[in-house]
Amino acid sequence: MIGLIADRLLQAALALLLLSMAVFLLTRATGSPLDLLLGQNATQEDYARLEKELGLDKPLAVQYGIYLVRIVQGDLGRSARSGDSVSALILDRAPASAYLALVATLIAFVGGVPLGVLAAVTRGRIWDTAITAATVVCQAAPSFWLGILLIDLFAVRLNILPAGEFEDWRSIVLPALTLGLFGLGGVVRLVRTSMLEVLDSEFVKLARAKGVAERDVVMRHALRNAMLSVVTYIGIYFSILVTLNAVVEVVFNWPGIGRMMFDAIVFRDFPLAQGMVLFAASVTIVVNLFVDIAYSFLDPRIRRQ
Amino acid sequence: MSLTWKALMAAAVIAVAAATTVVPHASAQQQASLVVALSTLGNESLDPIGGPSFNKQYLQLLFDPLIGSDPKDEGPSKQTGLATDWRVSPDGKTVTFELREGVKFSSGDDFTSEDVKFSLERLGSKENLTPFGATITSAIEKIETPAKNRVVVTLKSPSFAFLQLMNFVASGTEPLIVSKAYFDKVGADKFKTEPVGTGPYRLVERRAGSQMVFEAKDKHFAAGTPRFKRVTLRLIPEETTRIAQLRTGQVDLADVSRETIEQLKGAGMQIFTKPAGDVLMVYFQLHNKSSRFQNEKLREALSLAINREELNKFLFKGVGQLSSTFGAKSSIGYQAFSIDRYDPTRARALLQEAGVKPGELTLQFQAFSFNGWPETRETANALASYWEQIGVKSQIIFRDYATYRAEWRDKKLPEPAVILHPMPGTPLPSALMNAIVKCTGILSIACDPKVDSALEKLSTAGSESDYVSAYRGVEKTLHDNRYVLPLLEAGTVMAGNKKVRPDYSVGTGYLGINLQQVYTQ
Repeated sequence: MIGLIADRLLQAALALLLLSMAVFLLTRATGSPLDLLLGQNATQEDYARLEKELGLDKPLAVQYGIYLVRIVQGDLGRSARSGDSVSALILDRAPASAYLALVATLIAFVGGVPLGVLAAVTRGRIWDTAITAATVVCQAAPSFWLGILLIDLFAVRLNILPAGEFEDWRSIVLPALTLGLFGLGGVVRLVRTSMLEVLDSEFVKLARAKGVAERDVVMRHALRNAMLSVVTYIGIYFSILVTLNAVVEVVFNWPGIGRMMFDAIVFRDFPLAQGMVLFAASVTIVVNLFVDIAYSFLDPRIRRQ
Repeated sequence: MSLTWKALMAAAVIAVAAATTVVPHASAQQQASLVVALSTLGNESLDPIGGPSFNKQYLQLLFDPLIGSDPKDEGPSKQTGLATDWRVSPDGKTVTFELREGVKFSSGDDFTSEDVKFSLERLGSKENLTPFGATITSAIEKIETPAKNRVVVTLKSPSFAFLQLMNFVASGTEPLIVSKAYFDKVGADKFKTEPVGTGPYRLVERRAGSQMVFEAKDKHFAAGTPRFKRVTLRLIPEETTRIAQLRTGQVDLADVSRETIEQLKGAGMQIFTKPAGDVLMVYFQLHNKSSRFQNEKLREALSLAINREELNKFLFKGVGQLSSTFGAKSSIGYQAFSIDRYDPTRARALLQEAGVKPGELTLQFQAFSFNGWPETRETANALASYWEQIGVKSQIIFRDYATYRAEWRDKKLPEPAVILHPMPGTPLPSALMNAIVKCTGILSIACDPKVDSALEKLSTAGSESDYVSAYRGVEKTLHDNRYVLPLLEAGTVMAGNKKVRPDYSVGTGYLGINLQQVYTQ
């Protein structure tokens, strides 16, 4: 187990290193950062001073080394638009996004798994049909449309929940529901499909032949095996929600990473956009690491390998 | 036991009744909070010279201008600014400002003439990124501070514009006064994040890209006890969300598009609007001698292809007024000219005469978000569509003004560059003209000696009549050559709930939304 974790950590570190190199080269390809950082009345002396200050007068390899050291120190540069530290901006926004992603993922997981199991064990019957139809609606509804609909119903007409913002616990309900329902649809379909596959396999038939109770067959044998694909889906889903959830964050004016990424791209704020790409990739890599570790708990064969 | 319970209940009822009779009285003095939702907060710089003034209404809360403006009609006021009086010498070259005494900055430092000198001199520093800084400092020969409450500004030549620009209604953030003592103590970097001014509020929280929270000072020389203890300016780019939050009471005042006016009236909201105020116009980037726009026939063709009446009727719900000038109707010396009427047939013929084949030309069309102009995006799409109809394609690049201004200033906008620009209405558009249509202007789009000569007369005009004559000359040249295409003039629309005073006036100033009247009792 320790070997597996060490192996995955090594892979993650390598991936981050390659990514940092790609981001570094992209930064240079989009033009000199001096043009973005210096004021409009800057003189040649200002350019020379800042060039030296940022280490841009050094060879590219040395610059990359400095860049790596700065990343490790959490320094991702300054926003071209506001002049704020990119690291500080990300750290300021990340908790709101993580909170929203966590609640949405919980809705998807806690609601999706039982419904998926129910749909699988009642295959072809009314429950299965109803759940499958509902999941199609959940996944087909565009999130911006669903978000506006929920705001109109629960905030404007019924006035029982706020229309966005990050104020108190009630603020999370509508954006999390908007995101969670989409994820829930995906989890239900995955659990149902995987369960049907596993329930039809030889080892399940053998368990039933040996007289194992149906409840144990479903919960201990079938569901555990079906969970491998669900864990992968949840991992990807969570990392996307933390980093790239622009639409719902804009609709609900949620002060998170997704909205900031949207603004950074629209306003061509390259240092901020690049810092966020690095952050998004780091989150994805870390979540994948956890998913790999979760695999080994669900499937002992992975541990043995 | 029962008796005790009843006694407790009675005591509770009396306590609640007492509390509720006190609260309304207290709230009549000062209400707890006001939340204003805006579609943009500009570049969010807190330093008055840290970038263009557009959308930086929040600086009205922190700082006071040298010459104040009347909260109602926005004319110069000796009650609301840091100068209590000003005199111009008979030769027009010396302006003496008498300053308000007993005013303190949030840092505790006293306001003195040194702060005025320091603030005006900063406009000429290399850190200055405001459009009118150069106009103001180039007019000044020297600034003297003979007393703590007196500043004497000697001008190079008599200038009608100088005094106008000391009021933020005519200029922007330029005349806002900062504390020299505090600036010297904390340095430029800290000043940018923790600024202090003499304004009625102090900044208590700032979340970049999200919101700014201000807390009222106990007493302000002009506003008295501000109407709201806390004012929050919240950035909500999505209009659907702004309106939803307005209707749920999360937000008290918001900028909205003209098409939502009826819907919001139906929901019981107060609507604050002006029949005219800002001018939406199209600029052609003409600096490059090889630019396709050097051809006057192409500019005329693009103008004739636009159906201005249709734009006003459908996108602006008929509340705009077609415009023929760079300056708004509120400009000193305003005079209307003829307006190009929609004529696509003539436009196609002119295009042919200009040597532009159908489908051959693709315009690089820059547009940006602006408070009170949520229709900019739709207008850009509509213009692109009109031009497409006569065979000219457009690549629309929609972004924030504060970001693309750098490229505009450095003449690095992709060619052929067209800019859709809502220009804030101001009594004195001469400074904007200096920035945009003068050959050496910070955001210059054209280089015409005739315009430059008229602008020179404008900036040296010592009297109002000289100023008006020169101003009209500039407008005529711009109009006749179609260097800019004014489309229509319309005022910002704000919607608010009952917390906002019914007589609120959105304002005509350069900073856009007037917050002075929001916080004044």
